[in-house]
This record gives sequence, C-alpha cells and structure tokens, in this order.
Amino acid sequence: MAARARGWLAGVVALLWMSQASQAQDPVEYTVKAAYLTKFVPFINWPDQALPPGAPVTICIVGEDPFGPALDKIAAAAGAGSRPLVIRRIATTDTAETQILARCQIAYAGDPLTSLDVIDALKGKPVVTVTDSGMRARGIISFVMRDNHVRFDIDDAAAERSGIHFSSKLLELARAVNRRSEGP
Amino acid sequence: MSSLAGGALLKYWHVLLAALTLAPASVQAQSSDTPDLQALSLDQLGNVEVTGVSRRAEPLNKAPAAAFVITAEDIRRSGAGNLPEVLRLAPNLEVVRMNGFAYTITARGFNSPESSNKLLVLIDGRSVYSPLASSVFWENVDVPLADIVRIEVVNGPGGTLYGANAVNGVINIVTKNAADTQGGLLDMRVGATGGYRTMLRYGLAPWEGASLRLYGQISRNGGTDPVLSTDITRTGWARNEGGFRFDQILGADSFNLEGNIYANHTPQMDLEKGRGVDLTGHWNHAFENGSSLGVQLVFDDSVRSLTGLAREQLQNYDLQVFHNTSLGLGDSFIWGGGYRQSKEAFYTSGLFHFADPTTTISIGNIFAQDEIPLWPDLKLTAGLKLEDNSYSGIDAMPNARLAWQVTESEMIWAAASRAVRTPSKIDRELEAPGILLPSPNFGSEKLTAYELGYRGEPLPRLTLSASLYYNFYDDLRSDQPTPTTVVPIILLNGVKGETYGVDMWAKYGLTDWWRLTGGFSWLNRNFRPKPGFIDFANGQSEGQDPASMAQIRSNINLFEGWELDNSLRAVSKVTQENPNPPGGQMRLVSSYVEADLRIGWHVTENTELAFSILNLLHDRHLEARDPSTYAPQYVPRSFILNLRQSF
Repeated sequence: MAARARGWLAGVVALLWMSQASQAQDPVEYTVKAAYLTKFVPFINWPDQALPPGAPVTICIVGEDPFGPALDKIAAAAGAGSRPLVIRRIATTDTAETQILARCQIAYAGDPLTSLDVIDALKGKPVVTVTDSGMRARGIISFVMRDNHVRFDIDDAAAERSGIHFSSKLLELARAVNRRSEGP
Repeated sequence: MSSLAGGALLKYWHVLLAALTLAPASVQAQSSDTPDLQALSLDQLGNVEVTGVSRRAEPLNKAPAAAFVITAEDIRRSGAGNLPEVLRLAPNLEVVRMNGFAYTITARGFNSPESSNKLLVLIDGRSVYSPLASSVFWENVDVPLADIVRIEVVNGPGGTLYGANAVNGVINIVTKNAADTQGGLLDMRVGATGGYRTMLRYGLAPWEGASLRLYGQISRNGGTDPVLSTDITRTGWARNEGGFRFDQILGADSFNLEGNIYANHTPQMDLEKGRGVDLTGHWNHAFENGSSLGVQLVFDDSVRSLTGLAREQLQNYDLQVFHNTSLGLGDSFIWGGGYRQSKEAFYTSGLFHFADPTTTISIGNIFAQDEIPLWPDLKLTAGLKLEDNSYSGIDAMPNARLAWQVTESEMIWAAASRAVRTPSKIDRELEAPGILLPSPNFGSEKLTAYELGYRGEPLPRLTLSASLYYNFYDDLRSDQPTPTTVVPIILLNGVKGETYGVDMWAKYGLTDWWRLTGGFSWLNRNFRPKPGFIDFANGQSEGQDPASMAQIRSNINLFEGWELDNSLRAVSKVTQENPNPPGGQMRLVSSYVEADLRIGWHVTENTELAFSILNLLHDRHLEARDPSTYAPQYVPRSFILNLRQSF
C-alpha cells in the first residue's frame, strides 16, 4: 500500500515539474485572431441607422468561445478610433433569436454548423460575419492559416448586400477579395 | 483491503491537492512575455508567426472523435418534453422508452435496464451515474429544457478524461450561463392525454459581473398502456423541481454555483418515489500565459424508494481539478486529478438484499493528456488516466488518437483506447439465500476499442461525420451456476466478446431556410462465455439491441415567424438468442418506424406557440421487452401544445 501511495506521489511530482517547465510563451493562434477582431473595427463603415456615430461597436462571439479572457483584455486596451468596444458572447444560435445576432456589428463563429446558421441568419443585415479558418463556410471576413500566419479573406460582394463598406486599406491587406459589383 | 486502498487514496489525494495549489502560484510568478499584440498594426498582425494552437480543450466539433452536438434550437424544435426524449435527437444514441417514466439509453449497444451501464452522463460536470447498479435512473434526472445550451454526445471510450464508466460513450449536458437567461420565461406544455409540464424561470443581475437565475418546474406524465392483460402497473409520473444557477466573472476568474431540488412519484399508489438535492460549484482561473486552472466540487444527496420493498439513500462528494497548459512544444496539455466518495445505503426486506446495507465507495484518479502537432497536418493526442477504486483497485485508461487534416475542412482520425466499468454494489454485494451468492472479487469490465473516423465538410453547407469501431470487451458480467444444483448463482467476470459497427450523421443546409439532419448506425454483436465459465443469464448482461437505426429530420423556416419541423426514425427489430432450441432467435420487439411533426409560430418576439404530434404514425408502438424489471408497455402517440413566453 505504501508503495502504491509512493507511486502516485512520483506521478504527481513528475506532472508538476512538467507543467512548471512549460514556460514557452509563443503567441497563440487565437490571441492573434482576437487582436484581428478588434483591429478590423476602424476600417469598417456600418450604415448610420445600424450604428449611430459614437455608438459602441459590439463584437459577438457566437457558439464556442476560443478566445477566453484574452479577447476582453485586448478589447479593453484597444481604442478602436472614437468608438468603445463591447464583447458579447452568445451561446446559442437559435434562429428564433436572430434579433439578438442582428444587434452585433461583428459576429464571429468558429465551427461549421454555427457559422452556417450565423451567415444565413444575418444575410443582408449590416453585421460583419467573421468565420474561423479550417471551414468551407465563409463569412464576410474569413480567417485563413498560411504557413503559421493568420491571414484573412474578404467577401466584399456580400458586404455590399449588407450595406457595409470596408476601407481600401483593409481590402489591400486581405489575402483574397471577392469583389463587389462595379457601380456607384 | 478496501479500507487500505481508501487510505492510500487519501494519502495521495492530499499530495495531489498540495501540488495543484502550488502550481498556479509558480505560474503566476512568471511575468508574461507574450508580445503585445494590441500594439501591432493590422498588417503587422499578418506577420506574426503562430506556433501553437490555443491552450484550451479543442472545440468538440474539431476533435478527433465521434461527437454529435444537440443544440438549444434542436431541442426547442423537437417538440420533446423531457431529457430522454431530447436525447433521441442524437443519431448515435439508442433511446428506449419502457413505460410512463422509465427509459434506457445506451451508445454502441448494451441496451436494457440492467446492462445500460457503459455510458457516463454528466450535467454541468456532475455525474448522475448510480454506484448501486452502474446505470442511470432516468426518472430521477431531468433539466428544464429551455436552460440547456447544448448536449454533447461522444461515442466511444472517454475514460482518459472522464474516468470509469465512460466506456461506450459520454453525454455532456451543458446548461446556459445565468447571464444568458436574464428576464423571465414561462414554458408551458400541455398534452391531449392529460400530461403537462410548466417551467417558470427568472434571471437577474444582482451586481456587476454576476448573474443569477431561479426556476421551478412541475411535470405530469400520463401512464402508458400495458402489453400484458395481467399487468396492472400504472406508470404515470409526477415530478416537481426547482433550482438556481449563479455565475460571476471577476477579472480572470469565473465562478459558478448551481443547485437543484426535486421530488417525484408515481401517482398510482405512490409505489415508486424519489427525491434529491444537488449542488455543483466551478471555479476557473485564466493565467496570463494562456493556461487555465479549473476546480469542480459536487455534492448530491438522493433517496429512492419502492413502498414496502426497498429504500436507497445515496450521497456523493466529488472534487475534480484540472490544469490546461502547454509543454512548450506547440502542444496543448491537460492534467489533473479527482476524488469521489459515494455513500450508498440500500435497505430491503426482500429476498435479494445486501448483508451490509451501507457501503462507502471511493474513487481517486490522476490523468494527463497531450495534444501535439507531429507534422503540419498531423496531430497526435495521447493520454492516460489512473483510477483507484475502493472495490477493485487500480485501472489504467489510456488513449491515443491521430488526426490527419486531409484538406482545410476535412479530417480523418484513428484512435485506440481502453476504458473500464468499475463494479457496482449489486455486482459485488447483492445476495439471496440459496439463489445468489455475493461476489466479493467481482472486478472491472474492460473495453479495448479501435476507431477510424472522418469528419468534415465534403461539400459546401454539408457537414458529415462517420466512424467505424471495433470493440473488444473482456471480463463482462456472467451468472455462474453451481454445478448440478444450478443455484446458488454467483456473478463473475466470465463473458468476453466483440462489437463492431458504424455511426454516421450529416447536416445539410439546403437553403438558408431549410436544414436537413440525417443519421444512421449499424451494430454487430458477438459475446460468449470465457473458457471455464457458464453464463446462466444467457447474455442478459449484454442487453438487447437493434442491429440498425436511422433517422432524418427536416427544419424549415416557413414565412415570417413560422416553423415546420418533421422527423422520421426507423429502428430494426430486437431479437434474443433462444436457448430452446439452441441457435434459435426469439423476437422481443418488432422493428418500427415513427415520425414527429411540429408547427411553431413566433407570435411576437417574446411569444412562441407550437403544436406537435409525437409518434404520429401509430396509435402506439413497443420499444422494449425486458421482463426483469418492468412489464412491457406501449409508447403512445401524443398531441402537444407548447407556449413559450419571455418577459
């Protein structure tokens, strides 16, 4: 019995040592993606009726939240131009609650099923849908991973249907852009 | 023996606790050298090289496992009126209704009241598994359906993370954060045959960062019709419950405390009764470097009684601690430990009884699992849990998984794992003079499982998951007769066997107003006594399963505010080997096809009305025939009106 207890003890000590050894502080994928979410804001123009001048910009995380408190910290530190940032987590995507989603300015979804629901529910509404990398479902902005770098694509045609304008700088930085129709 | 093991458990448990409380302090002492991403411009962000995924558990929908998620919307649009009926939404579960209140639910086989002991069910981390019989008494388990945010159903062994009894699968019921249930909700359901269910909930924010909800619910279920003319049992069911959930965020810490109290009974003669109270607390701390520490504490106390026959009292204390971090290899590492104590007492004046009605079962565990990228598109997850239970000692539950990202949106995975079901009090201590001997050496039932799966989006708007499994079981329960006289019988670990099969499902968004979900599963079973053993129960411990099940659901958003939801499910026949004549097959339950229909109308933003017909195709159908517990009863068609009013 004593041997058994000693065995457990050794295991725990080994684990403790391992967890303490884990000091590497590599920037992780989702911290970078969280930073992107807040950095997009100054480059996006929402219609006035959707977002009156000076009103806070609400960034919604729909479904599972991969960012945790890191996003709140980054948002608190960010002065997104003259607009304050609000982070909102929405656990469910019940289509009956579309009006809740429609109150977001940016709606992020990280898995294929939630993304599909969010994209369909917000089609034509002045909300920038952002989808994670590794999926076919693509929002107005979609993250892509390229050689351990986080990049993004923009569907400007969908943005046009939603009444959203991106600054030319953001469109330049995008890896690929689905152009909007030429016109006024 | 068992008290010595308990002593060892306690000893290492203190060490483990000390280690865990030290760990965060040492991590906190380090200053964070994460680059200040906020200072970077948008174009600089694109130049940051990321070498690791986030240090958190992987989202379930990207995990290399056969996992199905039931969403809040799925639940609302199913028309289902209690938790077991909701679980029919998971194509990878075998949900069998026995009568007005009793259900048996399994994954990958072993269905029947006695054998449904290989599935672990958690409600916000609290296990509702019974140490008496190793099963779940579903009549004592319910959750207000509008409070559920999602139900994760994972088929296959989950022993490394969840511990013993997560053999064939895990059901994880997750309720909404109290911050998401602010204001009031009235959820009323009335059935044409007299059953009803009403839930009233109110959520408020008492102070900054805190939210609270309170609820009360009453449910009445109509009884079901007996198959046998001699069956006079009335299985109508009444249940009252109430509870709360409190959530608080304080910087990097989040706390949560929730509790429930319930009482239920069969109105006819009050034969079967149950009541209970439970309390679950969680604390989670997020460190600067992205790692996190979680602690969970559970207490629950319940009583079940059969008037004049038996009374069971159960108290559980459960503490779990885990640390999510990284070993600095671009990996995601989780480790932790837990200790659970169950005080179980079963009093009966019947023939089958326990020499000592009271038992204390303690289980201690430590585990570690690492998820490490081997190659850009190849990831290995490997882990081990060691669990020490006061009945049968130490069990090791390792698993290894390989996930190959074939394309950006498609993954092929393979897994090998081992899980155990630890002995129940019935396995070890039940006795009846001259008929059944207690079995003080009954050990764990063991599973070694191999799985191969695919999950991904093969086409736009289509998600698909398919998995093949081959399960090797050993030391399953057998009823060993005494030579020549047959009785007394003793329960031994004398059966082994294999099951193999397929689970698959797909979700397809045909248009932005029409979703289709389909699922199929197929199971093949093969069990036999081990050399030197005889199974007098003739396979009763392996249950009765249909070879295949299929379902398809359609959710349509009609014109403004109207919903049309249909589902169709088919279950193949259930047979049992008939020893007389040998090799014969006896049909227990015929195959059946059933359908549900629901029409929902969002009258206003706050008011929803819905009309459902459940089991539309037949007046009644039979789902189970297991004479060992309840007489068989039919499942009826039901008409339901549902009102949800938020205020």
